[in-house]
Amino acid sequence: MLRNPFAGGGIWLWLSGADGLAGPLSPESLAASHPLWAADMARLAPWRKVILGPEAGPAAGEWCMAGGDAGQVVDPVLCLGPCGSTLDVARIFLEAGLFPPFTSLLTVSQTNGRGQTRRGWVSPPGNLYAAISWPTEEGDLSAMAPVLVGVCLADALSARGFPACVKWPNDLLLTGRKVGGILLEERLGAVVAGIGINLASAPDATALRRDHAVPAGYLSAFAKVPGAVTVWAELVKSVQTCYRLCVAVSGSRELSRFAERWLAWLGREVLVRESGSDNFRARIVGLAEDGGLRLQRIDPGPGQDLTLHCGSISLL
Amino acid sequence: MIAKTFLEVLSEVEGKKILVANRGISARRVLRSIRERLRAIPVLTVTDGDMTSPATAGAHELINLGPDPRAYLDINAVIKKAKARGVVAIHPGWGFASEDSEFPRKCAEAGVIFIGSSAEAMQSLGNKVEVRRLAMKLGVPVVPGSEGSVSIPEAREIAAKIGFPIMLKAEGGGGGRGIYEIYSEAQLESAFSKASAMAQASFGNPRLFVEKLLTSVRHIEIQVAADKFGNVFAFDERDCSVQRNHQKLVEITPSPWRGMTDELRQRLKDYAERLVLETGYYSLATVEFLVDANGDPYLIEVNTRLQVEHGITECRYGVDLVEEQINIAFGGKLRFNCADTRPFLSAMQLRVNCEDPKQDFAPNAGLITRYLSPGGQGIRLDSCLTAGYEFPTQYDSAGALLISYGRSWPKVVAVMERALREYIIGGLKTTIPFHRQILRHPDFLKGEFDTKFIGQNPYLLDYLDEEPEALRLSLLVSEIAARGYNPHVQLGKYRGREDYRLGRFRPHLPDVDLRAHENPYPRGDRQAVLDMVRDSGRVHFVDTTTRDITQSNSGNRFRLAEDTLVGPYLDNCGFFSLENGGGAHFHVAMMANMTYPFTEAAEWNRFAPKTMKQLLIRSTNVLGYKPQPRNLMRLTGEMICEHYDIIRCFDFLNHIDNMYPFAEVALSRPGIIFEPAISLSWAKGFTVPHYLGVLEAILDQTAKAGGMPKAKAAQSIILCLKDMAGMCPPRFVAELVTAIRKAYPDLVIDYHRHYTDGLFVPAVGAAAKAGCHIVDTAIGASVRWYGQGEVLSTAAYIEDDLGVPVALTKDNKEMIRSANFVLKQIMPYYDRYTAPYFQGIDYDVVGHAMPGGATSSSQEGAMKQGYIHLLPYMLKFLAGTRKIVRYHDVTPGSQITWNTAFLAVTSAYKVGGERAVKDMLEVLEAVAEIPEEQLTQAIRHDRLLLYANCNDAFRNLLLGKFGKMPLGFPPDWVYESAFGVDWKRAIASRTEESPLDALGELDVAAEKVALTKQIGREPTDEELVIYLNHPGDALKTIEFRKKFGDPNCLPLDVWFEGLEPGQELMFSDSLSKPHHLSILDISRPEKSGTVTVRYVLDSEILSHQIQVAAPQGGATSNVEMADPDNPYHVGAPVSGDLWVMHVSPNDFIKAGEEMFNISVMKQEKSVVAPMDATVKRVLRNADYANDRKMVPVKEGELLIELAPVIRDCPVCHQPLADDHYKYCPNCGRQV
Repeated sequence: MLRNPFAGGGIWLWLSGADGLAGPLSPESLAASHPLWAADMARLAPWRKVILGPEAGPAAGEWCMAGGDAGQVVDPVLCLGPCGSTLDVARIFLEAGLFPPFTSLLTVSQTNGRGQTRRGWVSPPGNLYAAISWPTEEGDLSAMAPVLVGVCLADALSARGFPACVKWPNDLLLTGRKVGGILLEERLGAVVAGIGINLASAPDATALRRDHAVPAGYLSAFAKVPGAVTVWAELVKSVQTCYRLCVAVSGSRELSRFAERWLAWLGREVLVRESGSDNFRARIVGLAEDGGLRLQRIDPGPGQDLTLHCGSISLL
Repeated sequence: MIAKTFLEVLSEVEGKKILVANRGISARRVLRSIRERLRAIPVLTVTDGDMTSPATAGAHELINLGPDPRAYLDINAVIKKAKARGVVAIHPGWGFASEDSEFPRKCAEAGVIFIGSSAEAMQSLGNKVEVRRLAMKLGVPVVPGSEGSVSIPEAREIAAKIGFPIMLKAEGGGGGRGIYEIYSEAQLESAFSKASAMAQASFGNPRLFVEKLLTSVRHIEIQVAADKFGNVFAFDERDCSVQRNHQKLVEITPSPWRGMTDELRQRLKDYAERLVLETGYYSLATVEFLVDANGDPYLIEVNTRLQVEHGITECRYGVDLVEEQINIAFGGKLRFNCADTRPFLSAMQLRVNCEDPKQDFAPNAGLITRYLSPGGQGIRLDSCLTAGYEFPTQYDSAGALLISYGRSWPKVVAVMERALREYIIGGLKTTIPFHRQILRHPDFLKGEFDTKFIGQNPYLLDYLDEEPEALRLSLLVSEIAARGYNPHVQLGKYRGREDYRLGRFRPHLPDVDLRAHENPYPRGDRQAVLDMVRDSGRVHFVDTTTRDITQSNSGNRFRLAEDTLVGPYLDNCGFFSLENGGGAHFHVAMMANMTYPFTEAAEWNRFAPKTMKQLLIRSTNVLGYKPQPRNLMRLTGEMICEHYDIIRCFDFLNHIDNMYPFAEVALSRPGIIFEPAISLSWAKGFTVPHYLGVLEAILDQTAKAGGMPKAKAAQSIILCLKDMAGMCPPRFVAELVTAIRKAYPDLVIDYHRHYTDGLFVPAVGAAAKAGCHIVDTAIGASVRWYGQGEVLSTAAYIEDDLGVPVALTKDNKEMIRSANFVLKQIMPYYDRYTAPYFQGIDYDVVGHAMPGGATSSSQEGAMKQGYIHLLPYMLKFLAGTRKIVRYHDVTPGSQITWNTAFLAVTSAYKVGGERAVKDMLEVLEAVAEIPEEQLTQAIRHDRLLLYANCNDAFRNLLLGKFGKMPLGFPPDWVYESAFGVDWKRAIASRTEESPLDALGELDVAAEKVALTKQIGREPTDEELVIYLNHPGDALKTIEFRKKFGDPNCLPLDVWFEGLEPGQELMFSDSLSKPHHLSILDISRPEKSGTVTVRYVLDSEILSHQIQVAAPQGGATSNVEMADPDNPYHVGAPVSGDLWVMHVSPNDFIKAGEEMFNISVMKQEKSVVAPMDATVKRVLRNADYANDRKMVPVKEGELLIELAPVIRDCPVCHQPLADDHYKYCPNCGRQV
C-alpha cells in the first residue's frame, strides 16, 4: 500500500492531470472557466507546487496546494481538470489507497457525467461535480447510506442558508426544485458517492428526461454562492459532522426519525413508479429503518402499508 | 292487433327466457321483476369481470360476453348469443345500449322482442334536436336556443338574441355530459372549439347546439308509461335537483318545493303525454324539464328507457314499472289509469356510489370487507354490493340505490337518515357520509334547493368519514394480538407472541368516599394560595406520580386510562398540586399513547377536580426540543392556562430572559401561579452566591412581566429549585435554601429533585428543615431511580426525625395508601413493558451529572452501537467536560454533553483503541485540574483533539445560540478544538442574547393552512397547537386517532399485549357503548409475512391481516436461491432492481470484472466476479439502457452460476469453456 500524500488534508489542484483521467489545469485556467471558480482561486491563494512521484501511483504528477488559511481543511479536496466522471477517477484513487472516507474529488466539468443507470448528467463549468468516499459501517447505517448522503448534504446546505430537503431516496430539493443529484456506487464493499449540485445553472426543461419528477433549479438563484471549492469544503465538513451525529444517535429507529426531518413531501400524496408493478398512488408516511420509504397506498389497494426500496416518486 | 290482458301476457311469458343485457344494479332490478309475477326465466349477460357480481345470483342462466368490459355495448353479439340460447325478449336496462335505437331494430330483425319502444319512436323522442322541434310544434315550452347544431358565427348570433349566459351542448351528449357553460362573449370562441373537440372525443360527434343557461333552476321530470294502443299515463313528478356536475345524487317524489303547485304538475304531465302521443311512443319514458324560480318549465330532453330513479315512482304509487314495461312489450294493455293508479306516499332515493366525496368524488374500487344493509319499514334497497365482493374498476361507481318512503316528506327524511346510519359498507369509501350531510342541511329539509345546491355548499364535504370506533379499536387489538406486543409503544423487539404474559388487568379499586375530602387550598386565587402556604408553617407536597416519574419512556408513560383509575384517589390526598403534564410527558402522549395532551389535561380536571394541576415547560423550547418563536410560546401558554394552575418553567442555562413570554402569560391571570425554576448543578462555580444572582434575575423579570415592584414579585411566585440530575448533597441544599429564605423571607420555595444519587430523603429533609415550603414526591408503588422519592417515608422523616410539621393529615395518608394500592396493581404492567436498561442508583452522578432518563437511553445507545465497553470512559469524559464547559445537565443540555462524550470517546477509540481513549481522558483531567500556566506544551497541543469530533449542537452551545452560558464562555482553546481553523471567527460571532430575539414570529395562519391540507379537514385549536410544537408526532397522533379511535378505551393488558385466542374482552367506546370482542384464531405467519386474525366483534365475525414480518425470500417459490456455500453461485446481494447484466453464458470472466449491477434506493451495487471463471448459466437478464426495463430481484436469488475454468488456450492463454473444444474460440488456434 502506498503512503497517501493527501493524508494531511488541504485543497489540491492537479496541474498535470493524467492521460485518461483528468485534463491539465492551473489556478488561472480554473479562474477563467467560470466566475465562481475565479472567486475560489483568489480566496485560496497563494498556491504551493508539489510534485508527486511514481510512488503516488495513479496520482503521480504535478499538483499544487492552497497555502492560505481558507485551504486548511482536514479532509483532502482534490480538484481536477475536465474529466469523464469523478466517480471513475475516485474509483481508481480508491483502489490505490488514496481515497479514505471523506476524501473527495471535485472537477470543473465532466464529459461523461452520469446519474442513475448511466443516465447522462449535464456537466458544464460553474456547477459542482464531486465524488466523496463514504464510510462503510454495518447494518442499518450501511443500508441507509444513500438516504444519509442526501440527508447530510441537505443538513449542510441548510446550515449554509439553503433550506434544502431530500426527495427520496436522495435528490436534493430547494424550494421545490431539484438542485442536486447523488449516485452511490458500491464495489467490493467500498462506497463512493457521486454528487452533482447546480450552483450557477440548471439544465433547461428540454434537456431533462421526459418523466422528470421536479423542475431543475440552482443555488445562486436562491442566494449568493461563494465559490465551488469553498462551498464544497464547507459541505464536506458539515456532512462529516452530520454523519457522526447519525452514528451517535442510538438505534436505527432514532436514525430514521432523525433522517425523516429532511424528507421532502412527508404526508403528501405521490405517484410511485416501481419496477415490476403498476404505478400507484400513495401517501409518504416516513422512512423505514433500512432507509426504505414508508408509504400508505391510496389507489389501488387503499390503506395498505408498504416500504419502497426501488422505484421513484413524483407529486401528482 | 288487439290488446292482450295481463293474464294473457303472463301465460305467454311463463317459462320463457328473458334476457337482461346489462349489469350491476340495473340488471339486478330487472331480473327481480322477470322472476316475480311473470315467472319467466331470467337470463343475464356477463363479461368475465362480472362473473362474480352479486347481480348474477338473480339470474337463472348467464351469457358470457368474454373479457372485454365494454362487451355490453356490442348489440350484435348480444342478440346473436341470446337467439342461440332461445331468449324471447331482451331488456336493455339503463345505460349501455339502452338508448341505442339500433337495438330495437336489430331485435326486430332477429325476431326477438325488445323490451322498450320502437326504433322510430326512440329516435324522434331521444334525439335532443328532434324533440325540441317537436315540442315547439306542440306548444311545449323549450329552453331558448338554436334549432339544431350551429357554427361559431351562428352561436354568436343566437347568443346576442337570447343573451348570456348560454350553454353549449354536445348533440351526442346526455346524462349531464358534454355541457359547457359560457358567461360572456369573450369566452365563446375558445370554449366553442374546446367543447367541439371534447364532444368529438367523448361522443364521436363534434356538433354543438346553443341553449340559454337558466339560473336557479330545478330538475323536474315526469315518468310516462304508454302502450301500443294509444293509452298513456303520466305519473307525478320526480325532483332530481340535487346534482353534482349534472349527475343526479338525490331524487324525490313528489317535489318538496313550495313552488310545485298542482297546476304546474298538471301542466307538466300534460306536456309529457302530448309528446308521447304525438310520436306513437310506447313503453316507459321520462320527460325532463327545468323549472325556474318563477315556476316556468322548459323541456330539456326525453329519456326513452327505464331510469335509475324509477323506484321512487314505484314506491309512491305501489306499482312495478318493469313488470309493466314487459307487459307492454308483449302487447299487453296499459294497466295504469287515473282511477286505479293513485299516489299514496312520498319517496326519496339516494345514490350510494363507491366514490370518495373528499377526493372530488374519485371512484373507489376495491374489496368490500364489511357489508351490513339497512332495512326496516319504509326502506327499499336496490344494490349490487356484498361483503367480499371486489368492486370493479372498469365500470361506473354506482353501488346501491337506497329508497325511503312514507306518508310525508319529514318521515321520508327521518327514515332515510336512520337507514344511512344502519348502512355499513367497509373497505372502500362511499357517498353515505356525504348524504348524511345533505340530509342535515336546513335548506334541503325545507325543499329550498336548486341544481347548484351541492356546488354552493362546499362545507357539505366537511365531515369525518370514520368507521365505528369499536371496529377501529378491534383492528388495533388484532394488530397487537398478532404480534404479541404493541408496535406503537415501539419497544416490540423485547417481546413477542410466545412470551409469558402477565394476564388480564382487572384492578380492584378500594371503596372510599371521595366526597368526604375537601382540598384545603384556595384554588383559583394565586395570592391566597401563596399566603396560605407561607403562613402554614408546614411542608406541602406536590405529587409527581403521573408525570415526572413515568414520562419519557414510551413503555412507562401512564396512559389516560390509568390516570383515570388512580386520579380520583390522588385528588383526595391533600396534595398541594398534582404534576400531570409537560416535559417529555407531553409529546410521549402523542408519540406512543395516541392521546391529545390537552384533551388529557381537560379529562384530569373532570375526574380529579379538586387539586391544583401543574405542568413543566422548557423555556424557549416550550414543550418541544428546539427554540420556538415568541408567538408560539404565547399561543401554547394560553392553552396551558386553560387546564393548569401552576406553570413550572426552567432553562438549562438559567438564562432567565428565555422564560419571559411565559412569565407574561402566567402573571396576567390571577388564578395562575408562575413557578420559575433555577436549574441546579453541584459543581465548581455553581455556588450559593451564583444561584442568588440567578434568583435576582428571576425576580427582576417577574417584576417586569407582572408590572410590580420586586418585593411584591417575591410574594407572587413559587421559586423552584430544580435538581434534575439528583446530585446536590443535603448540606448544599440546606445552605442554599437558608440563604434564599434570608434574602427573601416571603418567597415560597419548592424543592424538586431526583433520586439518582440515592440521597433523596436526606436532601429533601435538609431543604424542609432550612425552610423550604413545598417538596416534590410521588406515590410509593411508582417510585423508581429516575424520578422522585416516596411521599410517606419523606414525610415521616421530615416530621418525626427533623421535627418539621407537614401538611398531610392522617386522613390524607390513608388515602395515599389507597392510591398506592391502585398503583401496585398498575405498575407491574408498565414495568414489564419498559425498555430493559439500567434502572438503579448511580452515586457517580455527582461527577458525570447525567440525569435520570438520559442514563438509561445513553446506555442503550452505547450498547446498540457496540460501544458498551466504552461507557465508563464516556461518563468520565462527561465528568471532565463539566469542569470546562459549564452548564446544567437538563434537557437539552444533557443530550448535547452525551453526544459530545460519545463522539470524542468513540473517535479516539477508532484511532487508537482503549489506549488512545485513556490518553485522551488523562489530557482532559489535566486541563480540568491544572492551572493554565502550568500546562505543558504537549498537553496544550493534545487538548485540541478533545472536541475535534463534537457535533453542531455543541458548537452552537459554544456560540451562545441556546442562550447565555451560566458561568460565561469556556476558554479559547475549547473553540480552537471544536471549530478548527475557524475558531477565531467562531469566538467573534458569539452572542449572549436570548435566542428568542433571532427567531422572529411564526406564521400561524400559514401553518394552519398546511395542517388543514395534510389532514384533509380543519384542525381543532388543540390539534394546531400540538402540531406547531411537535409536527411529526402530532400528525401521527391525528392519523392514529382516525385509524384506531381512542385506545384509552382498551384495558392496560390489551394495550400492551393484545388478546390471545379464546380470550374475551368487554370494552366501552368513547360514547360509553359496550362492545364484546373475542379472538377466534391467530394464524402462524405466512411466507408473505402476514398473520390473519379472525375475531368476533359484537357477534360479527371479522378477519384482519397484519404484516408482522418481512416477506420471506422464497415467497415466490419458483425463484431459485443461490447456495451460500457454493462459490460458483452468484446471488443478488440485496433485494433491488437488476438493471444491467454484462455477461452471457459461456463468457469468460476475470476476477474483479463487473458481472451485473443492482440499483436500490439509487445506490448502484456492482457485483464482480469472485474468481476467473466461465459463465455457466445466467438466470436473469437486464439491459435498462436499451429497453428501459428494470428487473426486480430478491436478496439471495441466484442470478449467475459460474463454472471453473478447465484449461487455457496454450497460444493466447484465454480460458476454454469446455474440455471438448478443439479450437480456441478466441484466437482460433487448435488446442
